Amino acid sequence: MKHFLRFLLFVILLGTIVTGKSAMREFKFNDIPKFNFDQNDLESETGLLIMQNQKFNSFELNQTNKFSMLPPGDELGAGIMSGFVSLALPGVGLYMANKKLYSLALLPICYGMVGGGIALMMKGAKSAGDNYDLYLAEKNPTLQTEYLGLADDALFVIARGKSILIGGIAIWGLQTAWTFIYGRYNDFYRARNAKWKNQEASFNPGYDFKTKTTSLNLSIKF
Amino acid sequence: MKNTKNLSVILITLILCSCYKQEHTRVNKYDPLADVTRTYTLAFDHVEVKDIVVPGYVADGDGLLEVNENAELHVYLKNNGTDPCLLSEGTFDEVVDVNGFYIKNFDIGTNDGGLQFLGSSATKGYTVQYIDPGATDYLKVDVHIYPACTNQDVSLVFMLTDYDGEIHQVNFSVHVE
Repeated sequence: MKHFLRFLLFVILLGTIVTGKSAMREFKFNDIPKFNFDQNDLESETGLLIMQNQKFNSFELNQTNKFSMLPPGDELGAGIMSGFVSLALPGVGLYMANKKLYSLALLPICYGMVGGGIALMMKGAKSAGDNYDLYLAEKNPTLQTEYLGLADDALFVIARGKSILIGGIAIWGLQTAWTFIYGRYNDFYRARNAKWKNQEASFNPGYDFKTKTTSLNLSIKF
Repeated sequence: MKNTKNLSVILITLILCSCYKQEHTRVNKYDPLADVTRTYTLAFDHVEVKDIVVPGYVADGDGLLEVNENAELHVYLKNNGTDPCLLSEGTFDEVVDVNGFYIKNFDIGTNDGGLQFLGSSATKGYTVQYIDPGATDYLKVDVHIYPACTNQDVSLVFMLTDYDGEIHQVNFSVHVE
C-alpha cells in the first residue's frame, strides 16, 4: 500500500511536469497579453480573455501600411532614378523598380511599336506619293481609278502606322511615368523602413470576466 | 486597374482612328470624276471623208462624199483652251432635213450605245473621251448618201456635253458631190 501510494505520487508528479513543459513550450513572449490595470487590481488578471486574433499582438512597423502594389520592405527595387533608365530602355527601368520579370516585355513592345509604326508610315507615304503622281499624270480613266485606289490604300497604311506609333509612344510614356512613381515610392519606403527598423508596436484587445470590462492596449516601443 | 482602363481607352481610340480611311482628292483634269473646273472652248476645224465599202454601193476611196456611198465622216474639233476637254455625250441638235442625206448614227456620245470615239482610241487601247488643250481631234459620224442629195452643202450642228455639265455647240457643213 505504501509502495502504491509512492508510485501514484510519482505518476502525478511526472504528469504535472510533462503537462507543464507542454504548456511552457506553447508559451511565447509575443503571446503575453498586454493590458492596463491598477496595481491593486491584480485579481482581475486571472479572468482575462485573450482575443483570438494573435496577429494584432505585435507587428513590425516597417512591414505594414505600404503602397498596395509595392513588395515587402526587404525587396524594394531601384529608386526614382530608374525612371530615366525606363525612358531610354522601356521596361528595364520598371523591372529595376518592381523586380517583376514580365516588365521586360515592354522593351520589345515599345521599340517594336514605335519602329514598326515609323516603318509603316514611311512605306505608306512612299506608296501614296508614287501612286498619286501616277494618277495625276494618267489620262486613262481605268488606270486613274486603279492608281487612286492604290494611293488611298497607302493612306490607310499611313493611318495604321500612325496609330501604332502613337500607341507605342503612349505605352512608353505611361511605363516611364509609372516607373518614376514606383521608384519614388521605393525611395519613400526605403527611407521609412530605415527610420522604423527596430521599432515595434502592439495592439491588444481584452475582456475581464470579473469586472466585465473590455480593454484595448496600443503600445509603440521606441 | 485605373491605369489599365485608361490605357485600354487610348488603344481602342487609336484602333478606331486607324479604321478611318482617308482619300486623296481627285484633281486630275483628265479624270471624269474630278471636281474641277476646266476652261476651254470647242471649235470646228475640218471634215475628212472615209469611204466605206458596202456590197452593192460605190466605194471609190477618193475622199469625196458622193451619192450611193456609205461614208464615215471624221469631224475634227479643236480645243481652244488651257484645260482638256472631256466629253460625256453628244447629239445632233436636230436631224437634218436634207433629202438624200441620211445619218446612220445619231448618238455621237462616248458612253452610250453606238459609240463614236474621240481621237486615236485604237492606238491608245482605251476609250478616249478628251481632247488635249490646243489639240485637234475628231468625232465619227456614219452617213449614207442617196441620189436625191447631189451637189449641195449640208449644214449640221453638234451639241456636245462635257463632264463639267457645259454644252458646246459645234456648227459645220459637208459638201456632197
